[in-house]
Amino acid sequence: MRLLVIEDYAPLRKAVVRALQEAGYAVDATGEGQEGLWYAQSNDYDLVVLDLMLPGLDGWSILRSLRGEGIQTHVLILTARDAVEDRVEGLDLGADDYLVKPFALDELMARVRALLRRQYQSKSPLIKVADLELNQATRQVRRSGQEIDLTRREYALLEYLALRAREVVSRNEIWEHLYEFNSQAQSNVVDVYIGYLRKKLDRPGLVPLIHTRRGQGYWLGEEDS
Amino acid sequence: MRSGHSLRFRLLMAVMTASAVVLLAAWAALYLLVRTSLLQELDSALVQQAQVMTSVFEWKDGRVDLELGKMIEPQKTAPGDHRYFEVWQEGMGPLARSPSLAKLRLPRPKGVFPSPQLSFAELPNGRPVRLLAVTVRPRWEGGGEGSTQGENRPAPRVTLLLASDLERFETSLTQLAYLLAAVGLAAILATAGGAWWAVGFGLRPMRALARRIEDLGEEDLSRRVELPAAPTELLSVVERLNQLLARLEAAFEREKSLLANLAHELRTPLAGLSFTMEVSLSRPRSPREYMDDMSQCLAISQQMQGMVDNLLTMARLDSSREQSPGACYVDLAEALEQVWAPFEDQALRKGLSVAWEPAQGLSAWADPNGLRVILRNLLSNAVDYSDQGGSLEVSTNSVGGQVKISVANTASRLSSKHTDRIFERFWRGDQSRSGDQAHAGLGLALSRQLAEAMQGNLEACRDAQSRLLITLSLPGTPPPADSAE
Repeated sequence: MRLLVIEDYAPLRKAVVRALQEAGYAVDATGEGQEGLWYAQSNDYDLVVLDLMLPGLDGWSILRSLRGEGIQTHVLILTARDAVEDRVEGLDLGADDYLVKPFALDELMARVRALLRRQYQSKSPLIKVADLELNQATRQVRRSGQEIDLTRREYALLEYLALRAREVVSRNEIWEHLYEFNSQAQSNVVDVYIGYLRKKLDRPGLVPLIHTRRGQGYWLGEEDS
Repeated sequence: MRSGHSLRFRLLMAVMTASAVVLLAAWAALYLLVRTSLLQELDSALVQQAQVMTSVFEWKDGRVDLELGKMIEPQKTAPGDHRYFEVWQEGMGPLARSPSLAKLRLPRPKGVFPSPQLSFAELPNGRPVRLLAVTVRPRWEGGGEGSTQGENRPAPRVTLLLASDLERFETSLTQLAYLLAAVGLAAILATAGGAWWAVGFGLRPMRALARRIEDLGEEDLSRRVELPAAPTELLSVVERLNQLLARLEAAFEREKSLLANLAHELRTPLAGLSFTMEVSLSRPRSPREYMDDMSQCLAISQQMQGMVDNLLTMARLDSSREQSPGACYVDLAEALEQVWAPFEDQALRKGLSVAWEPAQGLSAWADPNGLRVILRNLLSNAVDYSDQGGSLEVSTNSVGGQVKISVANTASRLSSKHTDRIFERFWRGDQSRSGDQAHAGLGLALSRQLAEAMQGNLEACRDAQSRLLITLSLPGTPPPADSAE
């Protein structure tokens, strides 16, 4: 999952980015409105966390531009303005949720997870693909009832594939959703992580769930027999 | 507020008093007029009768012959109009008197009355009468009146007293008084009714205005008083009221946005503080990470403290119009040098070319602490907001008893149409919080207030190189004693 944080107050921005990264999301961040809009326009984010009072271009204008261009990325507004009209204006402009500062870590994380689930049309934090189970809230993964220990990056990759189960996902899409904008990672890291996941998930004796479609990408699910 | 009598009551009382006075005057004038004319009529009747009576007095054979046989009693002209007479001869008793007088005596004035004299008098029984007294010499029989020709003894003087009972006169006047009183009362009642209606009609726009004002909600200041077809006297009231409402609304909006800004400015660092700590505590970390988080939190709380200090100072300056108490001569070059020290490294890192040109030996009459706060704000803004590799110029000069400190810096991010807005509280425009900098948009607002408290001012403009130029003007000498009451 790749997220964008646009917040001009540096200490808060740093803390939010850190919290999201520690939760396993790839996070881009900026403190300037115009730059934020440019980031949101040029990358396919799963969620934008947006402050309203920004230098350069305010949050409302960013939201208006994004929705005006048909970009449907989910937007969570973070703001110190709690007047009802501010909230209504934000939601009317196409924001998906609203969080008033100061907010708790757990609440931010729960709202981020909820919006990401909505992004992939899922109401429950539990994703099931064949005998594979992912709990997005606790980040636990089980296959045939057996818990599987994954690293942050591995979990993020599996979650992305699971959310788009039975769909072929290109290497490029995976890369975009897992890595930050200015990441130094090479594009073949996707193949490397797919290899790690296969080793942990598709143990001998189990039906393989991760499949390669040559020249197109990967997909997760049970092959029709 | 203590309420007085209603406007209608006051106007009514005024109208009633005025009409009562006018009526009373008219009443008195009419009464006097009628009385005078009645009296004249009475008097002329008396005079006429006296002439008739005296014309028949004769002096014959050394005695006065009154020839009154035919008219022992004066004619009655009307019921109640009794007339009485007495005739006296000089040096002798009464020659004759009306029988109707019986034993009564007419009051007898002293002296002689060549022409008829009229006066009010009273009979011994207390009846008021109009009394005429006239003295004549009886006619010499066959000759002219009182003539002495051909006779040794001149005719003696004879005085006629003629009295008319005033009963009828007084009855008429009393009737007139009752009539006038009745008419007057009716007129006053009619005036009261008319005035009640007229005053109510005249006050109708006032009542309409009062209702409109009552309708204005306390919450909604955007409404205005509308009074279509308001009389000219009320037009200016309505206009003033609406101007007042507009000013109130503007002040209220300013206050509201100040509060909203204040909430934002306090909530944002609070959110940063609590969120940093929460994230830090969310899992075990290395001492290095904890130290970083702690110093981050410290920086945030220091920033908040600075902001709260600024706000408190401003609130104090807002509430008291006192001048800065501890003013003294402050050497400007020295003060600038001291304040500049902590910014020197930062300016170097930013690659600013600094032109440092304060004149030596120039002093301002100012509160040293307040001056330091202003200078720190000016220099901190100049360093933080000037462009990377830009220029910064600090200079001082003295103009006509005032000293001026000018700080100019390149600030391409501040659009020139916003130059004058930089003194608004919480205004930040394009140049927002840059990183951890503690600029809450209060510094310049506070500085201006401080400068004004020191009898100076703080102004911003663009200089010839289109840099932002902020000039602080301060008095160079203490103010004259009389202005420092």
